[in-house]
Amino acid sequence: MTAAAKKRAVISSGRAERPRESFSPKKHWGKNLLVELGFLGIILLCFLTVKILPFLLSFGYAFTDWNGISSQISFTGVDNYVQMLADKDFWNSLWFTLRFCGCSILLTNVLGFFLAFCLNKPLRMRGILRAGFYIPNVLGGLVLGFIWQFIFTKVFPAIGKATGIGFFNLMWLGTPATSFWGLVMVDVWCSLGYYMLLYLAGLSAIPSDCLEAAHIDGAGGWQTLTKVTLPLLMPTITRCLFLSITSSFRVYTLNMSLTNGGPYLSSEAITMNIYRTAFTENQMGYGSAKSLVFMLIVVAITGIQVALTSRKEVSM
Amino acid sequence: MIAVHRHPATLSGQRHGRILLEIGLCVLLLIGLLPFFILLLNSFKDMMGIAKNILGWPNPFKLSNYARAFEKLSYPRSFFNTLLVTLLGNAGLIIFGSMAGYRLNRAPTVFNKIVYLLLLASMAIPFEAVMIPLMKVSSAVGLTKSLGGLGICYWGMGASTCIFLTHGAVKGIPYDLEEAAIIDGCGPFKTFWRVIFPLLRTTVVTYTILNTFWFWNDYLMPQLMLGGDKQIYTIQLSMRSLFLEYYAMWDVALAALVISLLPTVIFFLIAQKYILSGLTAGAIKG
Repeated sequence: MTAAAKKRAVISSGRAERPRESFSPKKHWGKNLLVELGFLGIILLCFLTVKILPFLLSFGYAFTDWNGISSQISFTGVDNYVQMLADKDFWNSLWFTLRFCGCSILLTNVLGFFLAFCLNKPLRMRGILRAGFYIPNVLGGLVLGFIWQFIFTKVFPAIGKATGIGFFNLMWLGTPATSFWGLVMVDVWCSLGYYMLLYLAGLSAIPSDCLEAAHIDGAGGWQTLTKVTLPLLMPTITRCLFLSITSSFRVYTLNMSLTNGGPYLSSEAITMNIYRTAFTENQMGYGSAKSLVFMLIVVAITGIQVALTSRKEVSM
Repeated sequence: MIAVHRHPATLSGQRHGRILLEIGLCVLLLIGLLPFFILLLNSFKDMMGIAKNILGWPNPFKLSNYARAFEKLSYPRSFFNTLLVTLLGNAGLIIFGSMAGYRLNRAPTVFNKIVYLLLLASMAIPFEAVMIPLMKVSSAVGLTKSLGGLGICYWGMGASTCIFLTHGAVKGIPYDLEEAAIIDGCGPFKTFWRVIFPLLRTTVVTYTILNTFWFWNDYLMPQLMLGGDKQIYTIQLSMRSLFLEYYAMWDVALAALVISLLPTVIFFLIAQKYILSGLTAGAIKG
């Protein structure tokens, strides 16, 4: 933020909350339908069409046997859910996703905070380090997975041969365990930089007088961190956790391009399972039922997380 | 600063600690960026070189991988297709996203409050959970199998984040500015574009950068929406068909990977200043 923008924000924050009685834009234009349409019409139409309508439709599809092509769609009640209960692949993929999300969320947030904490200190090469740690985040999609496929299957064995370090001689991507940790590693490597930036912003927003006060009161480094910094950082933590939960549950492209579910579907995440059911096996109805369960899980987990962490937020 | 209160001995101790920390972080960074170097290095080798000498300098030094990758990806076409989708997606979200965020904040009618809550709540719905019906809906309204349609779908998909961020930024702008504009005879749209929008610059730049990476790197949505027509493939889709055709042919594949990630790296270097300082505009308020 530039100095001018900061000044503006300071000036404005006092006034915006107490609008004068005589004027508000709401009074002027609030009821004008044409203005409302002009401002909101197009984006709202798009939003309703591509997000809300499909969302509502998925409730309907989930109770049918629709195959995606035929116009003959029959209502099958809870058959899809009964089928799901016996679908071992689905439960395995759900369990895999939960484990993957747990590890990836924990590692990205802890390491992201650690990097931000270090790079918030007045280091000489701070700018370069920040930029450098962010760079992997510009990769995405298939490119990310394909690069690491090369590294795991070609480069790691070569390093292992040259140095004899056991870590590199593991059968990377060849066993369920190495596939799992390979995915976690690449995901963390890629997303770390973004969370580092978010935590850095949170840390730099903590007023230095709070930290000084803690120091004068005799708090050590660890005490300051746990008793002052972290509580004041709760809004950032809430946001970072929300973002990392929603993004790690959605892992699909990385999963597909790195392990493609292998070996033997052991590293198949839930989105990949849904994709396979719906678009490879053409069971759109059944796929919708699975998506619905998936969506409920994500909404429930993020809901619980936001409720828990935002309750811990303190005001300065 | 905190250090001022400290005894000189602890101060120098702290300085040593800092230098060690800095060295540690540099080493960590070098390890973290190693994949890029290895990728670049091996993209100049032939299959023999990759098999025998994966960690060494390319010998012979081959540029032909790049020529083949360029051709196999139909690079210019894929590049412009991706660019088109990214530009269209961004244009819509910059224009309509910021307008909507402004309106929802400044005209808090019951309807608008519900709309805003709906937008917020929808952030928890993953794309993968609605993709099946989305295919049906978008083909019914004619958005599939075209780059323009894909761009427009991004407007709907990206709406919540952009509106959420602008909504927050508008909160901090005093009414006085709008009042002055109205007295000067500006209508609602002119007021927004002339007075408010320039003040939202940081926020708009923030989400536009994030969206650019998203649109550019997205794979699943283009794959579902664009179908099998190679003429409208984005870089990510061309990449997939190259890998299907050249499985384990790493010489061509690595060169292709390098030229596909090049645009994002260049974009990062150009927008670096905004990314490292500005990407977080919404982080504190959120």
